[in-house]
Amino acid sequence: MGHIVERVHGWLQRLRRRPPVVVHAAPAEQLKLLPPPLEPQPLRCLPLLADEGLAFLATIMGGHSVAFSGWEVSRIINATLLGLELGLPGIRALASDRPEGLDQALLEQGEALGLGAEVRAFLARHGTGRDTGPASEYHLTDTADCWWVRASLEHPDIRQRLDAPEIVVDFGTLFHEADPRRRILRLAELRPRLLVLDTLIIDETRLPEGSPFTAASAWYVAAMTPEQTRLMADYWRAIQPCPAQFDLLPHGGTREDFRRAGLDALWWWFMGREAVRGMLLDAGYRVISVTPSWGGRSAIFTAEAVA
Amino acid sequence: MKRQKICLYTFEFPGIIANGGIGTAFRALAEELVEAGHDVTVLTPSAYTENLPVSWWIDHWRERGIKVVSLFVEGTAKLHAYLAYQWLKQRDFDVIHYHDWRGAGYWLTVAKRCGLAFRDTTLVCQAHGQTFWHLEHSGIFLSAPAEVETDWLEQRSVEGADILYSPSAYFIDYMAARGWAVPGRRFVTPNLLPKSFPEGQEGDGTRKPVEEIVFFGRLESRKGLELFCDAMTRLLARGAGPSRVVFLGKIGEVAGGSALAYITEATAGWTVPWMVRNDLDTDGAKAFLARGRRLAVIASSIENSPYTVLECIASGQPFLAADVGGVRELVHADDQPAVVFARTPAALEAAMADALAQGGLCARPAVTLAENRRRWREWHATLGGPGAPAVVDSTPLVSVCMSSFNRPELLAQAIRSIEAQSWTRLEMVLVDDASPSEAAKRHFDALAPVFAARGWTLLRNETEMWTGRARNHAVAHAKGDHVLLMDDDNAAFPHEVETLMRAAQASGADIITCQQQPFTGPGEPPRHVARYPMGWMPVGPCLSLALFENCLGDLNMLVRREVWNTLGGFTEDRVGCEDWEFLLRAGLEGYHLECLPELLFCYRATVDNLARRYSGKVLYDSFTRAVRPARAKMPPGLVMAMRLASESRFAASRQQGEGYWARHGQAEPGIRAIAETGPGGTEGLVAAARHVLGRGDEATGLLLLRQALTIQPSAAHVAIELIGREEDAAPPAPPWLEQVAAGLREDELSRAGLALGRLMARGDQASARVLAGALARRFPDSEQGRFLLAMTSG
Repeated sequence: MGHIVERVHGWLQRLRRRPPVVVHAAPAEQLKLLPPPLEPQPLRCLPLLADEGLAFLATIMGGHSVAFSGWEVSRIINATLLGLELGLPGIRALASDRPEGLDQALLEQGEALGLGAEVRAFLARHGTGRDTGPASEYHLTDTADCWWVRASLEHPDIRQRLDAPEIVVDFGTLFHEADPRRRILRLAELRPRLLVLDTLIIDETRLPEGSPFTAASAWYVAAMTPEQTRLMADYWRAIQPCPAQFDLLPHGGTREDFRRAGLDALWWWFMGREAVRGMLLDAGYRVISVTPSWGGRSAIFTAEAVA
Repeated sequence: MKRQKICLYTFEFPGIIANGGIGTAFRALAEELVEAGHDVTVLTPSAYTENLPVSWWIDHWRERGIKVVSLFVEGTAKLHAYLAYQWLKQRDFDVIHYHDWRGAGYWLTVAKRCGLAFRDTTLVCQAHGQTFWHLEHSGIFLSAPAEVETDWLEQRSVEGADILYSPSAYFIDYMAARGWAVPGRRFVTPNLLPKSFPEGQEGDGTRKPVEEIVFFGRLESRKGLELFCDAMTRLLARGAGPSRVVFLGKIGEVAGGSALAYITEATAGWTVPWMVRNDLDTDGAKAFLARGRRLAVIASSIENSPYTVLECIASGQPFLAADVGGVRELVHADDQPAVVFARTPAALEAAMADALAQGGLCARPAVTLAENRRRWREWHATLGGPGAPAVVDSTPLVSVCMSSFNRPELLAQAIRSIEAQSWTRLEMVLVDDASPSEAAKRHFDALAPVFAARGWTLLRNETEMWTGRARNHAVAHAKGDHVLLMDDDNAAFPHEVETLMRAAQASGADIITCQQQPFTGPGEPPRHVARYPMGWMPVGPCLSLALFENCLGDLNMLVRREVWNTLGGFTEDRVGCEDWEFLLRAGLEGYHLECLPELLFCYRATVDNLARRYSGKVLYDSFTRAVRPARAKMPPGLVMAMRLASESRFAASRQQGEGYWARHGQAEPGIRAIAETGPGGTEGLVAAARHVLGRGDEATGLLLLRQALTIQPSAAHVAIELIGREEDAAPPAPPWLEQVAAGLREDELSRAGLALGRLMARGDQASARVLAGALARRFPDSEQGRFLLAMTSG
């Protein structure tokens, strides 16, 4: 833990010195200033910052409205708590479904961190208890202003429902997508100033020399040759965790083969850094930093809107 | 050579959609233009893919030097086209190619005509094949209004292009014969072929021996499968057949059934074996035909400029092709007699017999591949360049005309949206259509000085005029050259008036409508424009379609004042759809209508919308009113035929609960539960009773329950609702309570618990104990039943 505390204190120092994130898409005068410098006492969310992704977010979110998306509910909760401590002007989470007991989970985790008062105040304004049902076909102007927005990223007025966030953070789902470009495009269509993607990547430097996988590769599991499948299986067996799909279909297979094998939440895509960078650029976002997370198995891509 | 920035915008591209002719044409053009040094982007909006993900294909084509972009759209073709337009307008392409099929380019042509985008972009429509052309040559009747819409979108995609490309002269003649205004700037030459067909391998007019005959094309009626089987049966009957017959193509349908079943049946009695190859793409088919001594037969009932023929010629493959469409234009004139056959079984039989006897002819092309490439490159180099200068900037006065009835909060939002317009030369003419509520009256009183100070007009009606007349009243007091009609519960985006006016100035249109962004609730309208219109998407003046549905636009229309005056404004029936009727009348009178592919206002879609409160008869009157202008134009002898056509569509909409007929579909759950019950029986009455009881109307609830019990005295689930509710009723008789308990299901125990509670609350402990005992006996194993008994005992 010591090294994390040291790193976080380093980040916090930089955070205090750092100007707000300036993105070319918007005039500088429209950008909000960072909140006042943090109190000298340690961040109450410090334990959460063992998650490298959240620690990184702490350095960029200040002063901006943020929307979180993705399948990892626990990380969304933690990121929301981090956002509350940072006093962000807007916090939203987005998913088609809302897990049971979400507000309670946020409160319990918040209280454990000493953020109970902040969470209670937040839930009083944005608690999901007032959400009367799944999102309607059209935007409901008189619906409760809940922090967890139940709607699909595909919805045409999702930007309105999320109140046009300045930063969008997508947690770790890209490689589970049937088509990663589709998700990136939909995230880009929210038109945030910054788009932050935390996703699994393949570190090509850990592959045997002469491997056909490069940083620009994006391999689709149902189009991989047996050799490619073996290469990826060896990679994951070495660094763990190795997904079950490699045991069930060691030579690969068609999309139908994987479905028949009962594999849900499949790792559909294996992508290198440059591949993700290219996909973001195609969607109008230029990567300005890539930060490793999950022990180097994933990376956090921070991209700014191309003017 | 100037390096052009080119977009090839297509609904089909190889791989994502396998083997389509349009996809092949766009692929070949992409390869050619990339090789010529241009900056080429292929835009394929759909999320649909036949096998591997779109992203995989994007990478596949990128590795081959072609940049492909997908927008991952799902939905109708016009939605694909809308989102493609939204993407394209933000990029400054020199040239955009799109195809006619499914109206891909329709919104681009509207946008260019109306000055919204593409001033310096050349729009090239490639005419490959249209929906109605396919239908009529396949013997398929029109069966849905959507097909009429698609046909019109295709027509307008062609007519609105700067340049029309067609791979055959035949197809231009076909469109002109349909009465389309085909663009004067045209380019006619065969399609390009992918690079897998190198130059110099074209047919040379020699003959090659033939042993196998290959039906080449999708296995379906339109490709001539029946004709081929018929001719082959004749050929085999006279002992002159090939050693084998191959069916090369995807398996389609014949007469609504499987083509494979048809082939199996049709080949009974054949003396030679046959096989199917349905797994080959363009290159695979080419390789297959080239192996062995094979003759390809293309027997389609209609073709524009078929790739099957082009590919045979380009690879020196012997073939026979039916003399349809633009086939003949692809073949060297001297070789046509040997390879192009009149489309009859006898002629095909004779041509196949000749090929077997003398060898199949490797026909020469009418235009060599090299010559064709040169033509394309030279022609393309002439495209692009700056367009016509922008329309002179002027800002005439616009009058926003609105009538309002009794909803001051929503009206205030509507007015604020007008105050926020970027077009500043506007006035508002507001009619208070005799709003009865005090709140509304106070609101109008407060508005009066504000309007007066601005020079705006507020008109107060003594008696309600209803929408049509009230709006006419507003326009009559307008001072502007243009009027913008608006509902009092909607809200304009800040750029609405400016966008409509600029479009009117650029296009010279008389009336302009646009897309709407629906929302619900009484709160402030959305601030952010959605990605695309949800639900209804009008397309503009497709008058044939307007007999079945309002495709023209909403009341929210900008109208030239003189056109409004000439048409006399709205009719004043006290029913709805006056906007639809007005727009149809204007279209029939020949006025220039446009519908923009932009979301310019927010439409409040709630159960309280006026149209959603209409009764069935009012809706009937509204719909028949809407198409009244068309009836007036019909010869008297055909009026009922027109009524049948349009009203059968309205009846289907009502049956399916579409559009205005869907009001119960959007109702709150309690109302929906009532609506979903049948017209007879007790269920509807019980559901209605529960709903009104829930909103505190005890008296009505009891009356409804009593009526339900009158209809079905033995209905325990109804009786249990009544127990303990009727204050002035005598305590229920114990045998009746026993009878009710005996008729209940276990899942109704909770309702029985409520009845017990009511009895206890009114002090009728005796009845409560009787009922609880009866329930305990009825459900001896039920924990809940025991709990209820204990509750009364205690």
